[in-house]
Amino acid sequence: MRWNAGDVSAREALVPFVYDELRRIARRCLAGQGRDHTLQPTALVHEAYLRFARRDAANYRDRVHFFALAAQIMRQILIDHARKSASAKRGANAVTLSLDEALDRPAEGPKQTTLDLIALDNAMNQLAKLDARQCRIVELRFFGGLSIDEAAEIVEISPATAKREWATARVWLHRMMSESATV
Amino acid sequence: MNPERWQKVKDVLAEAMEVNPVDREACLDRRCAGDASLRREVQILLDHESGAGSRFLNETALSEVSVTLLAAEQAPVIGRQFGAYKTVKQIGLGGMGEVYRAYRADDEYRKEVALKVVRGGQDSEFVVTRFKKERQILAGLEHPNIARLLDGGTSEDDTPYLVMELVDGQPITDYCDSNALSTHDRLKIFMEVCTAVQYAHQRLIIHRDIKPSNILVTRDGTPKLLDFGIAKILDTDAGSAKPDQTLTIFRALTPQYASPEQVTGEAITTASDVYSLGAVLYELLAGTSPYPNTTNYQDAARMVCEFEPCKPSTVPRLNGKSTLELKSGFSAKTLSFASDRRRNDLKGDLDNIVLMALRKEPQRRYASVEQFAEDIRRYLANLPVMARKDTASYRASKFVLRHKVGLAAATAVVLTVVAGFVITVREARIAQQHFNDVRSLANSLIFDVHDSIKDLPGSTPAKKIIVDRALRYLNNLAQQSGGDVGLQRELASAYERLGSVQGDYLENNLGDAQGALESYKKALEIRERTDAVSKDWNDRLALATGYRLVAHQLWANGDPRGAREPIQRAIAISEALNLAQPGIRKIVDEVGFEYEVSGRIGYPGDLSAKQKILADYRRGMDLGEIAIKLAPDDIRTLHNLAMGAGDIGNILEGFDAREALKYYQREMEIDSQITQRSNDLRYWRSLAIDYGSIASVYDDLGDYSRALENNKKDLEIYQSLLAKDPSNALLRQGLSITYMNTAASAARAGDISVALDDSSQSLEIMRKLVANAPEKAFQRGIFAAMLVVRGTILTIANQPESAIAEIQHGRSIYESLYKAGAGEQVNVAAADVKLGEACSKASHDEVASEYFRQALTIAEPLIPANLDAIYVAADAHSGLGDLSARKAQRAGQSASRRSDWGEARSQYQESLNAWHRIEHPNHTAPNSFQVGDPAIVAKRLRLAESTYSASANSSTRFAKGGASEP
Repeated sequence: MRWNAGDVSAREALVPFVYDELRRIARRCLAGQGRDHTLQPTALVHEAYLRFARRDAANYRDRVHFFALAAQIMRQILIDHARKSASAKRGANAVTLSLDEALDRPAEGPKQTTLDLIALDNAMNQLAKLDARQCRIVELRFFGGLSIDEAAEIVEISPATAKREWATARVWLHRMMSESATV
Repeated sequence: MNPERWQKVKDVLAEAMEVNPVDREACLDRRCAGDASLRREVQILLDHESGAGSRFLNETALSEVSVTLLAAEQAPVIGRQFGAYKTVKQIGLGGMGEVYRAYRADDEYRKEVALKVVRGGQDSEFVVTRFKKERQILAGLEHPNIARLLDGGTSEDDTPYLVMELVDGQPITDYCDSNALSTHDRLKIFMEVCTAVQYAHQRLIIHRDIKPSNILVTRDGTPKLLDFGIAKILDTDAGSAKPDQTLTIFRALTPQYASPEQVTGEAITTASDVYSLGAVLYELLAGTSPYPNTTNYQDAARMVCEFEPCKPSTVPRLNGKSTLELKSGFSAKTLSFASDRRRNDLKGDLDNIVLMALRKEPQRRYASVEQFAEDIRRYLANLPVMARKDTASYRASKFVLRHKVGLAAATAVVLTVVAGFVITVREARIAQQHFNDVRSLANSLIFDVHDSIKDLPGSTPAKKIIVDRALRYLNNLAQQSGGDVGLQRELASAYERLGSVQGDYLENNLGDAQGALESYKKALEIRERTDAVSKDWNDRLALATGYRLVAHQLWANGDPRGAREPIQRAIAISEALNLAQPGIRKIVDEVGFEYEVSGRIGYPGDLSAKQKILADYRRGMDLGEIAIKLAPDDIRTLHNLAMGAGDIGNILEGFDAREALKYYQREMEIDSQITQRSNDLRYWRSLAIDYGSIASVYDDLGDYSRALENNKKDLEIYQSLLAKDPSNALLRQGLSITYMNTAASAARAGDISVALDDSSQSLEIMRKLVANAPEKAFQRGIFAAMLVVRGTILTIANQPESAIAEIQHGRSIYESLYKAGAGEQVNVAAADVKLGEACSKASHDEVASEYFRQALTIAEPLIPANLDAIYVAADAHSGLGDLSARKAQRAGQSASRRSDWGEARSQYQESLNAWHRIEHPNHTAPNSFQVGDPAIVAKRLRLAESTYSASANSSTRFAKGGASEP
């Protein structure tokens, strides 16, 4: 019996494909395409998924798996990008907003805030040690652009639980990032 | 904090966040009673609730990042030095960056200039190179109506900039409106613009981005064209054609004024400028652009290609006012002309002139800007004009039809790049200067652009355009260059690419298999010629590749016999190369690939085909082993080798299980090596599957305890993987399958209690997976098979009633899959056989017989093509035989006894006939269900035979319970 031979090759094909596709999407946004609001990350990930799903309808339907992977890859790409541009800025006279400055701006105001992705990544790594599932929810929401319900489906908890997890994670991460910013 | 503590804190925190702020204190008092530090912890976090606000993490990461980038980009850079220039004031902001008023810092006259800072992911080196190339051409543009390009370079932080003559003026549309110019005056100014464009066209320079904001009119009424040739400097990335840049480009293009060919990526010619001029004139006369406004690029692009603009004279009026009036807010008096008089002016000839310039097909527009201007002059002089009314909608629909593919593919974006290449090529061909440019452009068209759009859905027609066009350029160049070997090589590669776009079955293709073959043959011809004059082994290798491609395509086109000769030649060439220069990876890889193709092509009409195919695959694997030695650290190569071994094992499994075992073991060894080096999940899963394959061969060999042992290893890996990643659905599916494999193997080994346990574990997992994703046909098929296997195990365990329920469930899934076109009908028949067997065990003989007959009704039409169906027939007949034999036994001495034995005999005979059809009988059918044993059927046939012959008068008793014999 070798029913599972098929899905190994599916995953084989999946990883590089998802990666390339998302890298392309992320780069498109990073190259300034993000200002065009028709390119919403969620839409893009869905688009990537559709392309991927079309490749082989029979084997590649693991939607859940796809989105989880997508979020993971997106996180990696964006953090890498943030690290790179941070090191590029070092030495130059770039002014970095402190976290409070960046975060305390009113939400309605001009979107001039900068979120420190590297600090967020560090805080998320710490959260993962306390509660890996909760960290995954953050990853799916923030990096994967998924809704609460979609994230809930992926980690297989109820939407109500996912909402709680998300709300408490946000607060916790905010605290961690403020602490690291004031040190 | 530790995880347990955090769970506690989180619980309280969540509750506190959910209650009304007023009740918070009370809530905390209650939840944290006696635990002050818990309360403190929660309180600190609650304080951050407002700090986090609504935005924190609620915008996705990507939009956060783009906001940051946007902020950085839009910061004006006043007072900064760009080369010798210093910026004074921002005067414009466009898709490509900002424009500043600046002056030359070292110039005592402080002459002011316009300085354009180029943003948006443009590679600065590229812009500068392009600028240098274009500078000479653009420097030659000396015309009173053209703003000059003065300088360019990169700033200290590598931002490219361009310096242009500063023009103080208003966009032509604004100028005409604010001065309330008459139609006549508008046409006069417009004609001046035309002379400037015409002047540039004579020098083979196309503007490519004519729009009102690029035509400024100074206070004294002189129109000046800005940004001549700039679009080209910024647009096309000849050197690298990076996909991101292709995306930035389209933003620079203004769809309202861009021609259909620009939007779809067809060749840009002077007619494109004619079109854009037409769009500007339309706006000057009608007060609005020819197409409805939209901010979405795709919509705008589609509009340009499909939407037929209405006549300028019939532009709809809003609330009795023309758009012009609404926009400028001028009094009715100053605009008197704009209402009725101008409307009358526009009717007839002027409508026709504008619409002729705006025609979708370039060749149906004015042949030149000069003709366009001439027609306007004739109109002003009251002479008959060239422009005639167009049967426009008919024409437009034709255009759309022709271009639908391109548009639907949404590749317009990418194709704008192509547009850039085309014009360069055109110029170069005339100028005979940029020979090498053209060559590199054509190549980058084929390789970079093609690759960058490879995976876009629907991009295939676009790929064809690209490759086709590039091929044309290369062909031209090849003719001009005589025997330049380098060019010949490029031409051959281009043909190979074209072939792959046309019909490579492994990639999205145009379905033109014959065309693909032609292209591969052309490539091969060139490779032959090149190899004949070259001493480079790379050319020999390319020749082998050429033969391989032709062979592969012939096979794909349904001519495996024809494919044999070229693949043999390919192998002969590259084997010789490999012998002469051993240890070169490029060669080793090619030979390996050729053997794989050779095996796939097969040896039609050859009696020892199977051996030869295996020999090919084996040689391919040997070469893989060499490749590993050349690149021992390349996990990918190792993995390929492992898969190669698995493929051979797979072929052998059907007829030589022992040999298959060797290859599966080799596969397992390699995969274990890989898993020692990489923790990548997929390699661990491969390893687990290797154990499963080995187990299945042991099953075939009847070594059930070894089979069980290997299945357990398979199971262990899955369990440990899942422990690390418990929510991974794919892993759980794998675990479920492995449980079932182990159960089946245990059942065969006679360990019924393990079989029952593991099969029930398996089903429990699978049931949840199916409930979570009922839309997955593939998974439901697995589930159905598992239910049937579980039923078979229950039958063996003497629980036939439970077995019947499970198998019936499986059967109904198979049936619905079959009806939905997602499964094979033979599976339904296979489930029927298992149902028959379970019913037979439960002594529901009538029902059992019905199931067996139903199975035969389905299976018989599928024989002999379907191996599963043959197994179904074999088992159904033997099941029927058992039922008749049992009936005969019960019949005692009655008259029917003899005929029952006769029936049993003929059913067993039918079963054996079916078994004889199977070349390599196995105890599992390809669909993975366990099946009967021909030896047992033969034994029963002999018994039925002898009892039947003897039953005429004696009373031989049939051996105890034929049907229940294992």
